[in-house]
Parts: sequence; C-alpha cells; structure tokens
Amino acid sequence: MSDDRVDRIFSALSDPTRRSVIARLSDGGPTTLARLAEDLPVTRQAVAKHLAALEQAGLVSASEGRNRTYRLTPGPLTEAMGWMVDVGADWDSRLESLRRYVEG
Amino acid sequence: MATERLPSPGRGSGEREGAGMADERPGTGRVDRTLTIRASVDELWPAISTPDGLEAWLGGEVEIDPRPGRPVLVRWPDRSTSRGAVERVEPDRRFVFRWRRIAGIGLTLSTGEPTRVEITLTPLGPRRTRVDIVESPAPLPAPPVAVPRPSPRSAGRGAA
Repeated sequence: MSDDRVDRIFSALSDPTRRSVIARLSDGGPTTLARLAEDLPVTRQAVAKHLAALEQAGLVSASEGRNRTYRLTPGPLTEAMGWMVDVGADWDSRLESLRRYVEG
Repeated sequence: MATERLPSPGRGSGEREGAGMADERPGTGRVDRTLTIRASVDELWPAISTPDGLEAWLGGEVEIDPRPGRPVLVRWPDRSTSRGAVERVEPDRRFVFRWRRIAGIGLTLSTGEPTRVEITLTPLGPRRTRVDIVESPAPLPAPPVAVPRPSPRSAGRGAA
C-alpha cells in the first residue's frame, strides 16, 4: 500500500452510483455497459464515466474487444479495508497511552 | 441492501449525488476514534499540540513546531519516519496536521498513504474532555490556517 492508492479507492467508492455499479457487478457477475445502464437509474454516458473511474482505482477491469464486459476486481477493497484496520488499531493503542499519560 | 456489504467509505459520504470526480470528499475513507478522558482541556491541549506532550503517547520521537505550515517529523521505533506539516492550530480546541510514513532507503524505500490527522478537544465537564481523532487520506502539503484564540471583545453579536 503506497502513495495515494487508498485515497483513489475511497474516492471511487465515495459516489453512490459507483457503489451501485460495484454492487451490481458483485451480485450479477461480469456484464456489459448496456446491461448496467439498463439496471441503473442513470444514463449510459454516466455509467461509462463511473466505470472509467472504477477502472482507474483498480476496482473494475474490462475485457478487450468490441463488446467489452466489466468485472469486479475486489483486491483494492481488501487493501482499503486493511488500511482502515491498521490505522484504527494504531489510534486505539495511542489513545490508551494518551489516557494513561494524562490521567495517570 | 447490496451496498452494505462494501467497506464503509465513512460516515458522511454518499449524501452527495453527482457524477463528477469531485476532489472534496468529506468523510471519505476516514478512520475516527473518540475517547473521554478524565482531565481538563487545559491539561490535554499541551498533550496534543507540543513535541513533549505528543511524544508521551504517540509512540515515536516527535519533532514538531506547532504552528501552521511548520514541519512535523516523527521517528518510529521501527526506524520509519512520518513527515508532514502542521495545518491548523486552534488553541484548546483543535490541532490538525498532515503526514506520510516513509520506510527504508534507496531501493527499499516505501512511502505510505498521505493523510490528514485532526485532533479535537471538547470539554464535557470540569475534569472531563472528549478527544476525537480523525485520520483520512489527503494529499500533501496542506495550506496553513491559523485561527487566533477568540478574544472576548470580538465574540460580540451583530455579525453576519
């Protein structure tokens, strides 16, 4: 985990439509832009834009060729979760030290 | 609800609609912790805003000049360092800095996620203070912001 990877992942996840795209790919498996646009209450153009953002964050990958299918690549989700768990654990122990230092 | 199975991007997100790739993302991917401590704000402020105070509990050697825009340096026991800058200082209330961890040298150099750390004190009683910590991904460096202690005179009415 380095650079601003986590930031890119979370920023991709910060949009409700993009979360719907992820949920749709997670539930229904790989699918095309056309099918996604049918399932979601936004334009095809908007879905394409969101897919590009998800691809950039490494959360989605597309097949080559004419009728591209998009599938979820959940690795970055695990990375982002790991970041949150690690940073949270650091603060848990630091805050206990702060309590001991100030109250003790 | 299908989206509930995803890692929480933090509270506050998801409220803003829009297809844009907005750069301001309040609450995105944040880690937050809250603790109530039996101490006054007066006792806690130096602990969160001075090198000696921070060093007593942060877990590393701290070099910090607690003024906006000044550098932050923490040397951790594993020989990695976190470097960044102070962003915001509101005496007795809030201390904000940005940092990023750097480990190794040369080919083994690795840099961690740049983040923003906000420590906020809220008085709950004469000897009770709530401490809120929020750490969230944020680019370096940050524009410095200085907020002076509120003076009794300027706190008047009629503004806005």
